[in-house]
Amino acid sequence: MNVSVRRVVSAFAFLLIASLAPPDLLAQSCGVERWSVKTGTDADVGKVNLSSSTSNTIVTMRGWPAPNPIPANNRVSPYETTVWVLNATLVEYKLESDSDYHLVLSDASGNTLIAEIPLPACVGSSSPFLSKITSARNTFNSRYTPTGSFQTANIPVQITGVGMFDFLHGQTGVAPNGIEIHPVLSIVFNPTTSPDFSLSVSPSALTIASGSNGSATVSTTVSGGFNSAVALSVSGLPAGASGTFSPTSIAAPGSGSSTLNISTGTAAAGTYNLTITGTGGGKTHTAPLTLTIGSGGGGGSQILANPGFESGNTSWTASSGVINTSSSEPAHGGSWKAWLDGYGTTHTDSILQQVAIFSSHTTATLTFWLHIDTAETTTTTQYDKLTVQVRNSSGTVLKTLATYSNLDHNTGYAQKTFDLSAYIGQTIQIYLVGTEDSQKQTSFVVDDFALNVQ
Amino acid sequence: MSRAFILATLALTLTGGAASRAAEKPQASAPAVLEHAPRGTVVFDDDGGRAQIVPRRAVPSQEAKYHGGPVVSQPTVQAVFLGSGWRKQENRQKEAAVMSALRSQGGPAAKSLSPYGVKPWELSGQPLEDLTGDPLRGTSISDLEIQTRLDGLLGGADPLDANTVYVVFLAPGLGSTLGPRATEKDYLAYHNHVHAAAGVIHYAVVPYDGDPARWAAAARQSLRLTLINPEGNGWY
Repeated sequence: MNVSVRRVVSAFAFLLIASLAPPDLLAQSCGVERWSVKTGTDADVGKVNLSSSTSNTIVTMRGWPAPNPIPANNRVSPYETTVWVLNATLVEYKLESDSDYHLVLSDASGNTLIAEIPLPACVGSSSPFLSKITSARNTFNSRYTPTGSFQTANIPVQITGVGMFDFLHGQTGVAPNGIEIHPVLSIVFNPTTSPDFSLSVSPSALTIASGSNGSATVSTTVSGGFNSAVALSVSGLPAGASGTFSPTSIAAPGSGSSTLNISTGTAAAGTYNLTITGTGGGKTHTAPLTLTIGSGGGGGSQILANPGFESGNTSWTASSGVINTSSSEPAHGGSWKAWLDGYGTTHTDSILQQVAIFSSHTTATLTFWLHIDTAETTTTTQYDKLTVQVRNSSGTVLKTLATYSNLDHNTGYAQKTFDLSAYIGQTIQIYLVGTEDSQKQTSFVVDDFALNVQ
Repeated sequence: MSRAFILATLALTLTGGAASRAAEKPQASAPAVLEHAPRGTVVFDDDGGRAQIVPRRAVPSQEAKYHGGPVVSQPTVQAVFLGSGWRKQENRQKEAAVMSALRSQGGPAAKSLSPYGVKPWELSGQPLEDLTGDPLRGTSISDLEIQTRLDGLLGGADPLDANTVYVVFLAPGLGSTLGPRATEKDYLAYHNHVHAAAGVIHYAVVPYDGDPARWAAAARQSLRLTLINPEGNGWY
């Protein structure tokens, strides 16, 4: 395009915008980057389910994989299509030049995350968020008067809003993956929280062969100063099956996790709706668990949960961003895998899953697929390493199964196999840790685990 | 030769490779964006991020360190003249003068950027112009409005060339604000970037200065900072 044409196009475009935009929008400075997503006029806004909300935590949101690239006018599901509820501390706030209220939220550990309340005049009239944004902005205005400088608040808040990945450019309080609550749809100051706890189970669905075993992790979180032990029980198991918790209760103050080990025994094949119940401090909460018992047929069964990572970052304890769908390192099967390291800087990533191998078994075999690529050129020195270990439930190393390094790089995936029969009757952790030195990346990509027992 | 020495040498010339690879993977911690930059050279921009300025007040010099982000390794510099003041005939001569100053600093004269992995820049022959008039509010144009105008100028084109840097010269009489800062008090120029639909726009903004030498020097300095630190995590 030559200069004169550009000049005409530019002038035309600006005049067109000026003629079509609402007057109050033109009177304000509004944002540019992902502004449609931030305010609900993007192409995917219809995917946002405004009829329900999901409680979450800052630390969990900070662990989500950041998309790359970040789409300009579309949403990344489910992170940007879900209405999230956060209980946190509002640390400080500021009026940005793009007219947003910039809120810095923090959890008890000091992990921060940004929430933003746009100026309603900067929100398109077609946005389904507009009325709620307006209400949230009014609520904030009734308590504070933001200016161009940060002001300290340090007040408990309950924030409800939609997730949004922002570009990292040095924002105050930004999460490492850029996730924000943007826009905020409601804010409650000093939410009244009587002592209570919440209960969850992961995975929410288990498939176990007849005559075999499986496990799920039951977790509790407390709020409002709750301080009691939480006793756990399971109901709905079919005749012939059994379930035990380890530990049987979560000690006061009531926040922690327990492994539910299920033995299908002689129960008939089918799908059963189980209920996990937690009781403590005068409160009772439940969580559903769907159990499917396969016909078995006398063969073995696989007892790891989410073995191919296709349920995302569940059932595994993993470093931030490790379990992801990045196309830069394709999965062995499906779209999710665990990608340890690959930064080219000093870095450590790990993944872990705890599993019980019941004493009724006679053999246990661990397999997984491993791909290694590296920028290292040495043929002699292990600069970057991946260690595969079996640990007990306290994290003590029982055995190092293997160590791989940049020297073991390969072009595809190779399956690795280990005999874990020595750990029958124990609850163990499958633990992989990748360490990378200060230069040249090595990526350790693992997928499609199986712990087959007979 | 030690491994550390080899890698330190490569880091000067192959910065783009390592940085782009890391960017493919979710970051475990937020990257350093203009943290610990020389005091007085960094301000908040219009949407809460950080941007680097050429301050009006002298600041102590500090040796630049590398922070892992990209540089503009093979730059093409595209001048953009923004504001209705550039329609005036008497200002056309100023336009030509500052273009000449930029051109004279490209080529071999810019080889001092080579330690940062940046080759001498080439100046695009034809400047772009946005002469659509005054800013939306008052007599100063905000950084957000400049981003909107650049998006309007460039958004309909093919995907942007990552090696092109835009130097926006504001017309005489047109002020500039960046977050809570204003050119009259705080800065001679600044640089920033914005993720537009067509790609990332790296740009420097140079308000008009009645002192021609200072005006040209501010333009050169802001351009150099844009090239070695286009996204706030390169050299600073």
